[in-house]
Amino acid sequence: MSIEVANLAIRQGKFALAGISFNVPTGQYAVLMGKSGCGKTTLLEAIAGLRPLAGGSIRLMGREATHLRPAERHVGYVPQDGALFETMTVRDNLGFALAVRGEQRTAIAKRVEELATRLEIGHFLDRWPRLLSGGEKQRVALGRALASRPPVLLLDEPLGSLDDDTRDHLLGLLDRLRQSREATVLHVTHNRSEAERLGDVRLRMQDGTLSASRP
Amino acid sequence: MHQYLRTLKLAAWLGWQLETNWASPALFALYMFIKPVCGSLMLVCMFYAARFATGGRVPSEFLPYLYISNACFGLVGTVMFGLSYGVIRDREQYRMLKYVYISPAHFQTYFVGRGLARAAEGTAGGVLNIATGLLLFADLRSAIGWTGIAWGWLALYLAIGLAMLWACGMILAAACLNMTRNGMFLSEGIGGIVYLLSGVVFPLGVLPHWVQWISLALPTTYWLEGMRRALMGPVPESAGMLRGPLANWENGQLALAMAFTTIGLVIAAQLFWQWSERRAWRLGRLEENAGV
Repeated sequence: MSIEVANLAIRQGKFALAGISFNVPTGQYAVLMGKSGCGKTTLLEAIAGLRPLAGGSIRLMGREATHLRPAERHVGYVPQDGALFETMTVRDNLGFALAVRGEQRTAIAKRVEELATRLEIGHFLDRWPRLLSGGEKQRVALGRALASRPPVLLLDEPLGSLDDDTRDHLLGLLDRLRQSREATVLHVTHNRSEAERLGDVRLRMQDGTLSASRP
Repeated sequence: MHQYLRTLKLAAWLGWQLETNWASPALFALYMFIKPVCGSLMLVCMFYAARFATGGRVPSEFLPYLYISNACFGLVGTVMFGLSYGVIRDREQYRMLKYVYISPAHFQTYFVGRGLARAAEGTAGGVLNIATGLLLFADLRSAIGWTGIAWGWLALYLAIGLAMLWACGMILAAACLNMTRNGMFLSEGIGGIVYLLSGVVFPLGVLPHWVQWISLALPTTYWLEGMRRALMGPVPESAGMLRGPLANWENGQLALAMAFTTIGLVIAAQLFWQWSERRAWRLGRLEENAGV
């Protein structure tokens, strides 16, 4: 299993989740659905290491990750708003994690070109994020998360604020990512058609509990 | 070690981009010159006004004292407050703090890198400021003079001072990690107090006795005293107003006191940062902002 969550409990002020358990097999694409405010993002952030746990455990790629620092978990993370470095060009945003990890310049350039072709962002590699549309920003954020080839990818409503055409386009890209099986994905959404098209595993959060199903 | 250096380099470059705000290099160089020099010239005007108003009772040595102190304080502002400013800006303006935290970049080193860009700006500003003062004011030329500078002490005070200011900056930045609404006030408030009480504008000797004790508790007071001495020599006996409680200290005593204080501050900064980072993560403070 790639993502193994057992008996997870999270407390944030008055909000609490408890007894959350699920598994996502290696290379599978899981979608996590539920109403707004039910704790989907909180769960995703806990797996990324951004939230402290009140109980339970997380294993990523067979490795105990409950107490690991976020950077040691090696997960790719795409937040709702993309969260790009505004002072870096698209090219630098894509190469940031690789540069910090000490990759050679030529290797970074090669990987950036590869991602640019795949995500169709080659024509604006030298632009600043503030000049991009919402869909373009999300593609860059996805590219940045994929750059270091993380075995686990966490997507927090990446299509949430996009128009229909852009959403369809990005959905196609995510579908190709699913078919490539290069990473185990956990994708948070409240859109049923997204879940039906992408989900190998479907998880639903309701009233603080989580149920799993397969299509 | 390499990972820290890579983070430092990337963060310093990112910080430089933020500082320059995409301005052309020539325009930014002009800004780096005008900003500190105008600040110092305002003090010069105040000096002449005070001298005129008191019928010349303000000693002429006060002008170089004021000018050099203010030029050096630029470094206090940029190094010490640059780090906390980085935390506040990343959380409030760019909303990137939590994403930096989960990125492979080492969190603390990232802010040191961000601070480096401001330190470079502060150093260049200080040098330009002093150079302008030397060009414009005969009092400053006679107080400094090339033969009068104690280069060895200057290098030592600069080295210890940078470590000390960095440690103070890390303590402030660590506090700001957990202050989601008042971080800027803390940073600016302490900046004002340090400016007022470290002997930048008001020599310690003219402050009330109990205020002098507060001044003597601030590490910046010793650093500014050291920098003034290295550049201009000890305060002459004739300028009684400028002779404060540190006037009779030897350079060695001053450097040793600063070195020990700095060691203590560096250890305290490391411990406080680690505790503060963990606490901010636990309480979700990395993403909480004032919504401005």
